[in-house]
Amino acid sequence: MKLQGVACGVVYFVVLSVTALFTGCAQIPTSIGQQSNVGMISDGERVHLDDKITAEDMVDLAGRVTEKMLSSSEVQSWAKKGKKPLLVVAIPENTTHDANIITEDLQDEIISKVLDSGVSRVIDESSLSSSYNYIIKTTLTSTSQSGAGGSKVTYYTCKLQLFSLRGERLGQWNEKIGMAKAPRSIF
Amino acid sequence: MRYLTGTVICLFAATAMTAGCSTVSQPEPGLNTNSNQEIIHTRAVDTSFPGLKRVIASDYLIGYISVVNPKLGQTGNFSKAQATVQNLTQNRYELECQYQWEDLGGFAVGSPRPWKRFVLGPKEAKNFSEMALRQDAKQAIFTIRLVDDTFIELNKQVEKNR
Repeated sequence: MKLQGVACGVVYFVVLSVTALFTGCAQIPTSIGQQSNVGMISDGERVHLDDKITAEDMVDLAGRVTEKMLSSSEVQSWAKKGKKPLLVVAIPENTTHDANIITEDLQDEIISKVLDSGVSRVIDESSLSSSYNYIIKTTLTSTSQSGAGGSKVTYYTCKLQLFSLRGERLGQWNEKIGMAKAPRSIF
Repeated sequence: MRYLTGTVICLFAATAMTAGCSTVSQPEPGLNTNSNQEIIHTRAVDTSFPGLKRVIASDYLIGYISVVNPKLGQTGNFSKAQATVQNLTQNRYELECQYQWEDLGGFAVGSPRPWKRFVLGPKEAKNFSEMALRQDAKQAIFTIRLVDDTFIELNKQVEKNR
């Protein structure tokens, strides 16, 4: 009888150990150095509480459209001309459903990326004179679809247009970001 | 006595189970961790292609996702890099990738752009390229990982504390 009890215990032990091995003891990534209730968002993270565009999305959009612009044959040809052209980056136009977007943030990102690239000089829009060579106009648009239970899909598109002083459109590039919001739980 | 023995063994097993669960992931054994090394070579790091290091920053992905076909080129005065991320399984992965650019001396150039999220379907392969937005950027590190952000982490902590 005593032996039967020990055998039963050994069976329990084996079953529990195997369960532990395949569940609890799996190599689950452990977060070392925990945050407080207010967490700091590390650079580059794409955190969203809703389907609205965030500062990090603007950085991403600005980077992607500027990359397209810089790799275009028109802008590539500037380097061969020797002298850096003067560029005006206009305040982006916001035609999205969200009037609270601060489009100057997008403008700042594009300006800093153009300056970093070293392909041109940038003059301020407010000091406009006819001494500039090109102007960049940026437009932010959005489309959205809503479904049952509050589900929603929103796309933000950033369009960048390059014009000459005479108003000739020399190039146009766009990039988009799509966000999907899950339906609300009934519980 | 019979029940006592069984109970003791069960308690021991339960202790082993909970102790095992608190195990923190350890580094791979046998790593050469010379502090002057550019990067520690693990299964997750591939430096076989000069100028484009590839890092798989999630242990779960090693052996399941591969980063192949590295390319480094020029567009005018700007460097551009490309890598192919290939799904070797039938799973659907939600991943993020990021390029970090460096100059010839290995110093970081600018700040990395935001993580780019993408979905990799079963057996799918996708190319990810990026042009450096600065002319002094000459080499890059390409990193992929499972989707992660502060809220995912905070939610994990909330779940753990329940």
